[in-house]
Amino acid sequence: MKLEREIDIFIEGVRRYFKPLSKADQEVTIGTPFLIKHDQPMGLDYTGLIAVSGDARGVVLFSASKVMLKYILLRQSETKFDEIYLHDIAGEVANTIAGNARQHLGARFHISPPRVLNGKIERRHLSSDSRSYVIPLRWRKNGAELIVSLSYATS
Amino acid sequence: MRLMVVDDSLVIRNRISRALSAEFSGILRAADGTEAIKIAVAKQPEVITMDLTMPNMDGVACIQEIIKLLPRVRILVVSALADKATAIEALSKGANGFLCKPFTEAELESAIRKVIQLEY
Repeated sequence: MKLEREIDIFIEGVRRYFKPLSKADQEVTIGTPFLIKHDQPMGLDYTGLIAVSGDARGVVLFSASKVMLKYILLRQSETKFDEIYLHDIAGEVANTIAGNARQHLGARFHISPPRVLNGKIERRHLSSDSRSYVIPLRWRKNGAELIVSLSYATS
Repeated sequence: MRLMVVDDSLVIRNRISRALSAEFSGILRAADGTEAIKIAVAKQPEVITMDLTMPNMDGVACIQEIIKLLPRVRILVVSALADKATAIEALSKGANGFLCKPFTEAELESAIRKVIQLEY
């Protein structure tokens, strides 16, 4: 899988997730993706993590500020914003974007149920033998990151 | 008719419950397949929305067990897994419809109506 194609798939997933949440002037903006350098700090307040197995191995993470997660909850008619809800929505966003990637990556792109991390992401959360990159995004003036760290089995 | 909403996400369970509350006389909720089966046996819902990627027991395994217990139940899969093979598998194992996440309330309501209106 070419890196550029993989990035396009996940950018499409981000746009697809935010489209139903967004009014006309609130579209998500995607920044320039970049490769993660050694020891580079990653992650915001809460991170949904999806483990990937099958034809690809690694993780897909959605990391966002508390404020952005609250806006996502509000747009889904939630009125509670305590940690259980912030955790839940961080995991659900990661799950949706990773699951949607199967449309292009196929049914052998197996995803786990989400787990959620508080605070910064550590290097150990990423796959050690893969290229890892960040897709930065902004929505309603708040930032988030989709972090993808995948390697593919060679036949 | 009673609806059971099966999803490991609390926010999704809330959202589906709110969106469909006017269509059903009662709404039950389960966070995974194991809990869904217990509730299905006890409460016998007529319609179920079912996520696929869940801990303890995944949605396809749960569908197969629930169909044995409640042969006339209508099941709408609501899942982020957007590949055709997954939809085909779920439908072949007994689901009556498939709605991909993310969804709007209008899409959910339309999908549930189609599942309810299916004739045997």
